[in-house]
Amino acid sequence: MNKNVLNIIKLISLPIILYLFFSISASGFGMHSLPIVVSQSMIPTIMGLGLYLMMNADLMDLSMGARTVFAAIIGGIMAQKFGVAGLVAGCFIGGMAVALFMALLYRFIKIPAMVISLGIVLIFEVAGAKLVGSSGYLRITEAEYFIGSYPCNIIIVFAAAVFAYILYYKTRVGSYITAVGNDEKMCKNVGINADRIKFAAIALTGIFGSLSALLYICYSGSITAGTEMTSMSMVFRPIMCVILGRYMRKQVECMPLLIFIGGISITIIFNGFVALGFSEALQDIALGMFLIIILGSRVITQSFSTWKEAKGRA
Amino acid sequence: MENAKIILTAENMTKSFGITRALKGVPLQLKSGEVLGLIGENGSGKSTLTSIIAGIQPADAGEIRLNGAPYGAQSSVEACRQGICMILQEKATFDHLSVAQNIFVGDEKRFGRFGILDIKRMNREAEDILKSIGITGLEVKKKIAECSFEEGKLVELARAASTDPQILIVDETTTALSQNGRNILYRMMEKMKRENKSIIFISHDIDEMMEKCDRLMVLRDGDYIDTIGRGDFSAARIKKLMVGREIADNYYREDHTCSYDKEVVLKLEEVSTEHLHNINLELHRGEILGFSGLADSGMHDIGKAAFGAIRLSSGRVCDKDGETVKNPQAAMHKKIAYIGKNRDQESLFINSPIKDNISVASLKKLSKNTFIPPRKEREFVLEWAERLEVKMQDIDQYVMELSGGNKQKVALAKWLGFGADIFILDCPTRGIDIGVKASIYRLMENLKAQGKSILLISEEMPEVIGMSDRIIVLKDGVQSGEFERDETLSEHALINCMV
Ligand SMILES: Nc1ncnc2c1ncn2[C@@H]1O[C@H](COP(=O)(O)OP(=O)(O)OP(=O)(O)O)[C@@H](O)[C@H]1O
Ligand SMILES: [Mg+2]
Repeated sequence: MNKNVLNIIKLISLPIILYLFFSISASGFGMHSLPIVVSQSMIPTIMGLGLYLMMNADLMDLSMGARTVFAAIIGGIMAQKFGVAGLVAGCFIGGMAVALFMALLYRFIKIPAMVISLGIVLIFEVAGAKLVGSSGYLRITEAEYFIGSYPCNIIIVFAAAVFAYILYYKTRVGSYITAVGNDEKMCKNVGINADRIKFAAIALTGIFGSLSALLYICYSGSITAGTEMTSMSMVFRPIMCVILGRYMRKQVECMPLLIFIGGISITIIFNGFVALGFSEALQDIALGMFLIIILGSRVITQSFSTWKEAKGRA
Repeated sequence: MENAKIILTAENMTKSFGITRALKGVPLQLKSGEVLGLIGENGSGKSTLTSIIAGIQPADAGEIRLNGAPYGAQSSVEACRQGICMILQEKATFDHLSVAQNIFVGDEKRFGRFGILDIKRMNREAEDILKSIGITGLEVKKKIAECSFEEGKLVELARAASTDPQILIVDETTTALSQNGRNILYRMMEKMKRENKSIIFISHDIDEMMEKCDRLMVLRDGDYIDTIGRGDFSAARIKKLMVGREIADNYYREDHTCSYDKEVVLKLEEVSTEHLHNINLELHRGEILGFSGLADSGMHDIGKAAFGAIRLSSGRVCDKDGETVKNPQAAMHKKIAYIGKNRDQESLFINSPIKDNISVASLKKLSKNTFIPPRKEREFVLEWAERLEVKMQDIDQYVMELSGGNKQKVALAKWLGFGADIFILDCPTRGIDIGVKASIYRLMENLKAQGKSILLISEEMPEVIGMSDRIIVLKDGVQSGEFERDETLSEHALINCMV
């Protein structure tokens, strides 16, 4: 138990160190950036929670952004008729419907999930744009978007993380998803129907897609329907959250927390770079470097210690 | 025993995979309270027959009756429900699930409602099961990925025990276990026998089979050959039935003298790892250096350390020029080959043809101006597949489709074909039938005669004693004894140093 607490502290120190680093080095970054960082990391975290389900079952998904935008559009449209209830219901209907559609497609045409997810991006970006109409733009009122703004967003993310924790670790479907990701052939031997489990994994991402739609539309109170795969840029941060989280799980086995730590860290870096005045290209390069350094740190420390050993002997 | 009730009968079991006829009308009768041994060469159809009984795959034709009623389980879960459970030859645990989750996988329904599991209760019951079959010191929350290969197999034992089967099928499991693990399995089998339950037991170790089984059924190339009762057991007879011709009795080295060159080709200096403490040793040219010890003695780490495959906490491994062997690439460059105990999982591309698997380590040797002449590659692969008697359709067959022992042979062929100067062999004859075992021993002798050196790590004491020039016994990560090749050397002497 004690060891776990120690490990959690170790992991939390990653965003803290990053935060301190940027506070010192960039004048535009500091105490006042904290609320922005927290609220900006909410959406990648929630998307990451969903993405992990699929990545854990060895399925790759690039459609989380498109699904979020589409569900948000449905929510926005329904909000105009039914207010807050319409907003929430619309996001859920939209999010779940697309996820189910994707799961069905995967189940019946049996091509790689990544390819299907690209198809989903194309279809639902266009569908969303059609729904929004010629303005390409949809607005909701403050009376509606309070539900997804501070402090409600924190509550939603927290609830989603708890739900995800139960789903990953305490349910049958959660352990079966892990099993399927491990070895599909072995699943057959113990009576797990891999196709059904993958279907469930994809369908369940709908819950997180719906929640991220809610946060997304409430974040700015409006939504723009982009086409030509613009939504793809939304999935990279969540993917990084999951990769970083997976890497850290050697310390503590609690993926939702790790995905959140990943989300916060990556958001700090993005904001820090902006505060430092990095161009977009430079931001990407620096972020890539960061990921390589973190993921490679084990190898680096190892070679460092062997180098020291070798020097000591010489 | 004689007139014990027959609980399972199979008749005319037939199964083909493409042109391979794995079973050609095989019958089987299992009495209650008996251990029925299934024996036959690699690829003779043992796993195929038993996996059909365990519901893992369907037969093409044939009829099975369980307790007199027609039986035809469509899946292993259904078979389990009807009281038939099988421990597979291949690994059957999920790396990223915990020990407890692996024990109860497929049977989680009892731990909760609406799909939400009571993990605490699951862990507790897992602990009870482990304890009941005598496994201690295995943390149920640990993930399989962090467990050793043997612990994974023990988890499969526990999984079988948790279903309390009427009939337990044990397919080639003992060679994956250390002596301690074997005792756990044997105790479990004895307990089942006392409860009048039955076991189908598969192993290539004839002594083990004669000791543990009440009857032995012999298969050869998918044909039923004969069944012999305990009273008629004799090693020579069994071997003859298996192979179809007389087999020489002693297949280990004939000479009884310890012989090797003075030149040291590999040296471990003060090597420590998680399981080893300050190991010093020298391997000489033309020497077969054997290692023996219990599962936790650290002997498997010796091989990995010598190959640069695990991190040393101190000390170093160096070659004949005094250069450090840092990692496996460097080791291969210095012509060191390592054949791990868990080779079928660690070193085979299951979804690739036999050809690619055997040639992959030797591509450099085979290539000519970066291109690899296909004819040369095929000849090379064929030569090694034949030397190890891999039973296959052709070299383009996928490794996935081979029988367990034949997968092992492919892994061996790959490294033997690589043509190293130093071979590190960890349990080289695991899962391999006696005929091919003999050819592997001849091959080792040939290598020795050519001045190559071998580190032989093995759970089988007769093998270590029969083949090694020198034997080092390990206990708790330190050297506890060293023996030279000698006619009078007995297993007893080694055991004394182990415990
Ligand atoms: N899925 C498969 N596809 C094609 N051929 C197969 C398949 N499974 C088994 N075979 C073939 O059937 C034959 C019998 O295999 P089986 O696994 O029953 O042998 P075995 O007696 O268990 O051998 P071993 O001692 O090596 O485990 C082999 O020639 C094998 O190549
Ligand atoms: Mg077999």
